[in-house]
Amino acid sequence: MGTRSTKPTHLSCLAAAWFAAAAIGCDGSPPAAPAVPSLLAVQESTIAVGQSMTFVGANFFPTTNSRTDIRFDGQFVSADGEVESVRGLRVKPHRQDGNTVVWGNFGPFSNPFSLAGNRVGKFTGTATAITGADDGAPMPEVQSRPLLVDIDVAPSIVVKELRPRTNSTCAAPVKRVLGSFTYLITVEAVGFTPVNFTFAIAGEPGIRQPRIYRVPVAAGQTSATFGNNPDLFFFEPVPLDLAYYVASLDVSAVGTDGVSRAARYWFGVHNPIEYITTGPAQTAQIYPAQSMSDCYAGGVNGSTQTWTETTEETQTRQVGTHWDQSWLNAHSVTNTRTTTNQVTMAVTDTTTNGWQSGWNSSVTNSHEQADSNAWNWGVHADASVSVTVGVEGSVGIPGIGEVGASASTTAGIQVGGNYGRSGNTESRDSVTGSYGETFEQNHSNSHAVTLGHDYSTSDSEGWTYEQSETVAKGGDMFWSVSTATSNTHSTEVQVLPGQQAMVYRQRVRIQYPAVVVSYDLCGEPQVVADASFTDWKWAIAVEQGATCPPPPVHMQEPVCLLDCGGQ
Amino acid sequence: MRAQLRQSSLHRAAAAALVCIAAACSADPPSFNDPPDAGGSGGPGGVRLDPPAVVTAETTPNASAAVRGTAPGASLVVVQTGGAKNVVARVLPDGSFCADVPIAVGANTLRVTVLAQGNMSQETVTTVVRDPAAAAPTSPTCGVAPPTTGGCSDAQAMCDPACNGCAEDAYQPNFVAGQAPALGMKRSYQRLQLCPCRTDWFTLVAHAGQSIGITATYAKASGFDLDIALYRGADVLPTMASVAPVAASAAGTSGSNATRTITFTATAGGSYYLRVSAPTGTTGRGSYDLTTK
Repeated sequence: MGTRSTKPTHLSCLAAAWFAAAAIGCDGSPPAAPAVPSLLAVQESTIAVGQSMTFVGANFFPTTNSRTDIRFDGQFVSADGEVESVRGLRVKPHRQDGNTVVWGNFGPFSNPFSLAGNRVGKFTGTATAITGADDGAPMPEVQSRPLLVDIDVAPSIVVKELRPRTNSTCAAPVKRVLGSFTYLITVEAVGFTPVNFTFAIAGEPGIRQPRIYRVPVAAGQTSATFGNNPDLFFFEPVPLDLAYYVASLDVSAVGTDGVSRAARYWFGVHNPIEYITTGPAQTAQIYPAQSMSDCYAGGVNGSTQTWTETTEETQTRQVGTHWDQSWLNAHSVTNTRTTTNQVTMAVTDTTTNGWQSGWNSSVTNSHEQADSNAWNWGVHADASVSVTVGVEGSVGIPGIGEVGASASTTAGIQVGGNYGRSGNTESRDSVTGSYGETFEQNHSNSHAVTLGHDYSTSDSEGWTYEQSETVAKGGDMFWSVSTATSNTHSTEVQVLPGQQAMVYRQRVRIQYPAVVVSYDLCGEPQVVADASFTDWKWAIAVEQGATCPPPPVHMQEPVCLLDCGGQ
Repeated sequence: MRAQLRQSSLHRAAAAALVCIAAACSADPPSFNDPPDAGGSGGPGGVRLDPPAVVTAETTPNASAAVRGTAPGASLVVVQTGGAKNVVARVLPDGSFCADVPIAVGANTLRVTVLAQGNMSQETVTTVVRDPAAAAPTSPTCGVAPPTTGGCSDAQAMCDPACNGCAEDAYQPNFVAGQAPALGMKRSYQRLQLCPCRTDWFTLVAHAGQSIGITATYAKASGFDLDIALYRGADVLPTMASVAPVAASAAGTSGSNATRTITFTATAGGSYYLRVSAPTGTTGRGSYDLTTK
């Protein structure tokens, strides 16, 4: 008594059964409905575009395979009195804790209650929490009771455009960016008169202070664009030891009223192609136990023997990749292509341990040629970073060359070959690089990654990767793993009186599932290959018994669970 | 009462099932802001929350009422007003809470629910009457009354832009190094404004061996003069260190077209910070232009 039941009531089941075939789920058969969410309040009654909105209640995200969305219905009355109907505006907040879900950026880039997107005013209507399956699982949706809400949309900064600087036509502001590519952002002050706009980029690897760019606004203007020459707007390249990183962009403006308005957006910063481990290790195969010693006799009083490994076993780690053939055909080394929104990529899938891919997006701006020193990218770095950023010389964005140079010594996913911007002023806005998952030094293990999910109406993907972690697997001889380096190879064996002992070794194949993802210039991901990384481990055990050899009763039975054909 | 509620829920469920079959599974639209089912939510964690103990003034002349109470173990409290204005507040570690809730003239029914770990309590219902003629309660709001300011007559008035009338420029706020906007090379920045008691900060990136030239141009007056100085990033962030600048301005021309110039060759690549300030003894109020090369 007193607890909310997630099962249908007896009476409702009877009613449903009475009306025949629609009765499902009454006997617990799938699909079961998730717990009904309760939405009690929207924390913010006044909000600006880009700020976070918090919903309070219970039973949000009740299971790991469910999610809770928020739907708005009502009307929006703009400050100039125009009325717009809002029907079924559904957003995807993220779970903050058991009682709150958060829409990370209201909008996220413009007023979602107004078709034009650049009006302030008031929304009056309801908000409803809806719980359903996360990504298509067969689960019916349940919804809370509608909650009456009034939401004042305060003076805001609207992001009208955020896209790669050239060679792209993005339907909406991008939600993912490519490291070291240049972008344009156009913002508009809505409901106030701006004095300036500030763009602060933070969270870039190795840079402690945000890079701050301030763009004055001419009298009578309400919008500004940042990223045109000479101030280029870009995010630092992805370091070698990361598959991607998450950075923030703070957009703020001081108004003529002296009030500062701000919004913070999070962006995943990616390479054009990346390898993402998508889950924990899986046991793929357990091999038969092998005897590694002679029989040790315990004798009358028992004995102590010393075992030393004499037969070393070495296995090769592998990366297996199953490409989307249509994508691979379009990007093979002999068939590269450049189209709007696509990065030119070339994939070579012939290497022993994986594949190589290069990309190129050459964007030359002749306007820059005239002024070789005008390009200031304002990296706020401390002295230790200055070594990297200060090697300008002939390099357009200093530091990229450093990345390439350190590829052989920095632990991380190996970026093979060259990666950097061409180093002259004539083409300093071009990006060239190659990216190979050769895994020569370690590999990234990112859990809980949900690539390709559509968070378009809610968060930038920073939240998607919140739970990610990187597990380094260092070592100069990464591709080769052996019992000599991964196991003890000497131990004392205590043999009981009258018993026989023997040392056994058992090999286990481990697989880490992964995907290869490619991004176009607008940051849209495409999973272009399923992949797996194969690793090896060995178990060592001493078995004892009355006979010689004693059976390996404490070792696992041999079994093959995954990808057994080639093993 | 609770039994009646549950029976009512059962009837509603049955009715919903009928609607579902007859109308192609259209949902039975529930009423707005219906209270949650009696009994609260046990939730997956199995934590049960007792209904909060709530204290409010019975009457108030104010447009809001302070709803105070206790709810040990809870982390959030929600006060629903029956309208579109619902209030969320934190429950303090000692279990107490206070929320300022907007109320209308007349009787206001407030439903108070507390939450923790994905669960929610039963609601506690209380009524507050807003009567313009009523006496004000002892503690009408949760907040502490803001301190009274000295207006523009205290010692800080000369430094307060609201008092001294100094209009900042388009690169504000840049009063500390952490707010410094980036300067481009071979650029001119005009009509910058230095206000009393403040310094202006800018930043630039230089590579080792790069030659930097920065000139400030201004109209020198009896009460206004400028100094400019260049610092390494590590010397000003996160806090200003007591170190000399890597380059300081040399006096240039004076009068209505006075200049201060820095010429500097970076010995190490990295970020540098330019400080624009008024010398001691001046009001520090005036406009200037910056030119980089």
